[in-house]
Amino acid sequence: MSKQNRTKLFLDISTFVGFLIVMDPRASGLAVHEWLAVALVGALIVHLLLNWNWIAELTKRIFTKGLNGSRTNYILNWLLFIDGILIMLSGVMISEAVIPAFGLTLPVNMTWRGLHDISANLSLILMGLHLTLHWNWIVSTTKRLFGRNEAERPVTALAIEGKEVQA
Amino acid sequence: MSILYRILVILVVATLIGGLFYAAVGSGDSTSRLPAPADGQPRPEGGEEREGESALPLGMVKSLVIMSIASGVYLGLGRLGRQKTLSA
Repeated sequence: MSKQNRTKLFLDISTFVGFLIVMDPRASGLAVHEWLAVALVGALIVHLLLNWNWIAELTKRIFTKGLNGSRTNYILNWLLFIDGILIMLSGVMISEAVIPAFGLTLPVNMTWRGLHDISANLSLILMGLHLTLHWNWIVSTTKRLFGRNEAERPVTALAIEGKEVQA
Repeated sequence: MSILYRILVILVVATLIGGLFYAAVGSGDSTSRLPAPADGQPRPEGGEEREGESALPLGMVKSLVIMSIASGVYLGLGRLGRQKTLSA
């Protein structure tokens, strides 16, 4: 298995576990919730960088005919990205740990609280769909990591019409 | 260099989207604005009071259940669509 796929898998699993912890502030506590969310922004940027070729390729070909599956995936990823930005922005605006740690105070606006809750709930649905669309890659890469599959072959996350394209 | 450029693209796009949200909320109802709380005072929406409410990570289980339901609905609808296409 290629080093990049291994890195992707470990990063994605770690990010997902972090996401689950962040989504439960009552169990983790508000400080962990906020600081871990900040760390997840870094993980998200690395996730995007590792999948940059797929993003760039699909952005160029998004209006090409016969890309229905990939187009759905692409649109879903954008929705997840936009939702993530809204979660972070609204989280910063109602922050009780991170922003005060920098000696800053922001005026309380109840709209941000509502937006934070809605966008967080929406992210669960979008994340569920994101995982579903990449489930084959997750399973095949995990199997290859533990040597339970056929001969090694690098797999990219580039999926066209629901079929993964071998690099 | 290309990595820095890509990071910059991500941050610029995120800033633009975030700016739009900020402008949309900022230009909305100003009556919901309250002054910043004094040090040590909890914010009206809660926060610290809710912390440690549950010893079990039930929120994580709930998150997994919601994601599974979303996934199941998507797969179910996809299967239904394929069956309709085949029968047509």
